Amino acid sequence: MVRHNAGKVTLCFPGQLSRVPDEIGTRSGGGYNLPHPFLEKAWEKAGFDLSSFFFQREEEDRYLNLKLQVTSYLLSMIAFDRYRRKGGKWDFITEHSMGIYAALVAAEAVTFEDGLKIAKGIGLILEQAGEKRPGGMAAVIGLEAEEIKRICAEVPGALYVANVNGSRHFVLSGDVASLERGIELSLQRGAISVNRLTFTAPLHSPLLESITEDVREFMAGFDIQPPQTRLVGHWSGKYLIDPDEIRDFLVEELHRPVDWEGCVQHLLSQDVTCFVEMGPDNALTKLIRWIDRDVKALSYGVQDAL
Amino acid sequence: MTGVTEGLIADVKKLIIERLKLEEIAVEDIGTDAPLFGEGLGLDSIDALELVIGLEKEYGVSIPDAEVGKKVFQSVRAIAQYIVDNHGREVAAADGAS
Repeated sequence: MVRHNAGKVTLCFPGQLSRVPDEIGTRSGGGYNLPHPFLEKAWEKAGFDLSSFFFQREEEDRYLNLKLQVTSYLLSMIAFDRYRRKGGKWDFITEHSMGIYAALVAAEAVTFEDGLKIAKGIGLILEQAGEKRPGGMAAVIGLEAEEIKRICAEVPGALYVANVNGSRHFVLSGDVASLERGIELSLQRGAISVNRLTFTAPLHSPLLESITEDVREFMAGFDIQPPQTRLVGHWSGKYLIDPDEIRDFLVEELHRPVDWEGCVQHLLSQDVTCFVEMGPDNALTKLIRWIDRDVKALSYGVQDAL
Repeated sequence: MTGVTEGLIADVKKLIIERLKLEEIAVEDIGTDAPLFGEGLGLDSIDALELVIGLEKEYGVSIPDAEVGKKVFQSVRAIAQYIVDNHGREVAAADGAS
């Protein structure tokens, strides 16, 4: 039994991993040695081999973020499958950034196969956007919101707050030169740490409005059903209910900021007392610990599934 | 190394466990000189922020920037030494009790 208390439980689907998990990329692949049906499907439908971390098609294999994106989707889905099979319960589903694709599958709004195609397809669009107009992102820890806003305003180019992950945890997004200046200023103003993320596109910033039509066109081909679990989107704490609204969310979330703190606060107001992170990492778990020290937050992981 | 007592070392370990909610780890599991980040306890930058706040609250010492943080968070002993060097307010009490 995974449930820990009488309050409500939220499953949290994290965004893209920032590195390849240790268990992955160390085995020979080519579609063999795939111990989970989801991994077999990833090989058949997306040409991606998780155990050796490569795409069959060379032009796809050169994109690190695309591989991390598909890896994140698969590992979240495996964690969710494991949790469900072991009798885990949940009342809400929420997600952070690109975690929306796995969250939609868990909420039965799209199929696993379509979730995989969407994660990969949008990942490709982002990689191409990053090639056309390079940008980047950086996590800034320790500064307060006012200081972060000041830094964005002071930098002469395009620099935005892409994630509000907590009262002193933010992600900046912008063009390369502006981001570098933003990193420099953040360190000068006393940030405890500033980590450049792997993204080459300025995700969750208005700079990505340019790909809106490409994403909308790509999404038009997918069947989306109303979620079967209350699904809370990452920028407003609002429930995603209607399929057309979900389609719009998938297009717009790429150029709108993530308000993870707001999302968690909304769920806390709904009597959620336990958050379970679906994936190999515990980044969301630690962010929740920062937002509310009293609530239970844990990472479910993929331990015996790989 | 001056002024760092075994009591302070134990208190810093307790602070790490409490602040980071490391429910399955005991004081004796944390090496005094072992690295806290990366290898060792495997802490990350979100944990570092928790420790910064914990040190401010418990000892009244602040970590002004990433450079100082990098040095201070090398090990439990380095944290304890930083508390002593910056006249952390509980040091006197801890020494008086020992």
